[in-house]
Amino acid sequence: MTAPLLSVRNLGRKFVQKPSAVAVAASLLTTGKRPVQKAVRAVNDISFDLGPGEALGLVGESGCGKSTVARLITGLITPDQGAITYKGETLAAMARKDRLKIQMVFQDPLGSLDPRMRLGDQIAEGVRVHNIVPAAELKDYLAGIFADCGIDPVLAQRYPHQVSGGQRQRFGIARALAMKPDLVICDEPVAALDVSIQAQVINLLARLRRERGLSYIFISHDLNVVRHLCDRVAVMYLGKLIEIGDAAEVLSDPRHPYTSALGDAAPRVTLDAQEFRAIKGEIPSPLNPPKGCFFNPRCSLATDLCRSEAPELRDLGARKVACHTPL
Amino acid sequence: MLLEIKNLEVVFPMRQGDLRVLHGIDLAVEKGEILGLVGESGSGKSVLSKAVMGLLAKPGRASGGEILFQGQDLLKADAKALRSLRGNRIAMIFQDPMATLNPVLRIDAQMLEAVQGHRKMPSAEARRLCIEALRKVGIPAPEERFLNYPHQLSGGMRQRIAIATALLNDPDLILADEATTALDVTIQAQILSEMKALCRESGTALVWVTHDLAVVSGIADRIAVMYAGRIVECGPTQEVLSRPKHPYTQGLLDSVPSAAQRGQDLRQIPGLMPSPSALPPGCAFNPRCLRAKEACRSNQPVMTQTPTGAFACFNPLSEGDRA
Repeated sequence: MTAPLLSVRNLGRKFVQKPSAVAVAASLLTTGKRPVQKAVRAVNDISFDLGPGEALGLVGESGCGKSTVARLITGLITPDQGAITYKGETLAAMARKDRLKIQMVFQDPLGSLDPRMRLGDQIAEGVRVHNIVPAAELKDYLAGIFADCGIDPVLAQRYPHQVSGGQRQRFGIARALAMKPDLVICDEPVAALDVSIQAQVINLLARLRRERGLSYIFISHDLNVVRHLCDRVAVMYLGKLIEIGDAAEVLSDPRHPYTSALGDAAPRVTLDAQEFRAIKGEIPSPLNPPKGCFFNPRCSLATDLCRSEAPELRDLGARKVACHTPL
Repeated sequence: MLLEIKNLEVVFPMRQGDLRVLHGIDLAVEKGEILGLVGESGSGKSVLSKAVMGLLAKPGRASGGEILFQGQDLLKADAKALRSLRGNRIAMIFQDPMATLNPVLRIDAQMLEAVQGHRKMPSAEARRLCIEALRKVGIPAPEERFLNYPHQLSGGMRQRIAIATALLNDPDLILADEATTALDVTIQAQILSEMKALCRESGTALVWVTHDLAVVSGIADRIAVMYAGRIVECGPTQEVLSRPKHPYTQGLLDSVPSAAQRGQDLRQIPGLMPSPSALPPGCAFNPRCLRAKEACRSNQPVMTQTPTGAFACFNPLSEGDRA
């Protein structure tokens, strides 16, 4: 790989659960001490690189911290551990203008678009505020973006609630593209869409990447979509990275028992009587993660070592796996 | 036949006149059968399941046809008769368990009501029945969970409770409307395998309503595909998935990314599903269909019976088209 576009080192972020006033009072009255604050390590010591033009899939169950990683990289929240460097510069020290090169597409375009502003104006606003193109060229520039995203220009005059979900997501993508980004972070961009519309948006994202040389961090719980769009895939579990490597290899020949279980659980259109091989149990509460490897209570291969010591992410051939007993 | 829907029409009265959202639905479910009802949003699949339950949102109403459940027409049944069927002989599981469960009542109160509302039973016995049902759907420590409020449980747990409640009275038919759509794939896999086993064991018929063909491919005996308020194709799961006749079914199958197409464009269905107030003339799918002929743009195709199923298309896919 050439110099990475984005490099994430030992990234961590904690969220502290503030005890309620009642809990504080109760604790003071009974023990005379303030209650212990519970903290969730939403993202725990994560490192990876992303090359220019590369697409990295980030998968895991809800609550595994994948969206927090996205928010950390876009700078929407700050890390309390580790560093993110973009083109060799740390994110915290970057000028605002350079930060525009990292854009985000959200899952729910209805939540990320202003309901009281015409769609076209919303896209134009960012371009104008950040002087992406001279004012005289604004109109042509937007027309070009709309054409690229397969948006009928007539729809630009409408409000978000007046267009379909698929069209709204196209506007969500157009808004990110209008900033001329190098890196687009897509947080479940097709999860809320119908199957036939999903295919349209997936094709659009693939084409934009080809034509503009974009890098993607593609967050999804749908392994089929990730395998289709991404070069590499990173699997997260309870805030930790547990396996990372070439997307086709990791998904067809997983080495971490969790990756394997995730693949087995994903429904596929098959003609054989499909037995859903389910992982036992649910993802543990991040407030109270199990000792040792976080996956051990659900893992059929867990040993005593797994129950006492958390595995490090180690090189295993071309990929990295955090497991004491890899498959 | 356990459930037989004949020529069902559902309309929503609007100022401009009645808006028809279901057009002549014919569907039958046998005892113990698992039927996958597949369609995208707006296809009418939820309206259909609600019509069977007699839960159509006012002012929506069935304007024609029959829904025969064990020979009794549910559309003609009075409120009292429906009440004794619902939750008893026919149960429904909704997408969002938080909307099914009452947030201010504990699980025990809600489940006991479902039992004792339909039959006289001493509380201790009803309690045992409920806890047994919770254990069956794989809830750990059911005695403790039984005393929790819904907000104290995870989404997967809540959906299991909704399923356990549906199973309480040993219904003959369960309607599950996108019951696992909001859950993680791992939890979805658990619930699907449990539902399948439970239905097989008790001989309960199940109608699994979903937009996800992959989900039904693993669970259903038969599949019915809906588009714009009509059933466009139905048949045995294997048959529909391996040899779809309707171009829409084929389009849905092609839209799912598979390992083989990695890096290539997916074959997408162009355009959008039409709104029920602006259906195109002829076959509702014709503006999005690459196989549309002249007849498709002017006439409504009727269901053509095949040895195993049926489809509504003037220009169905044949063996040669799929090669």
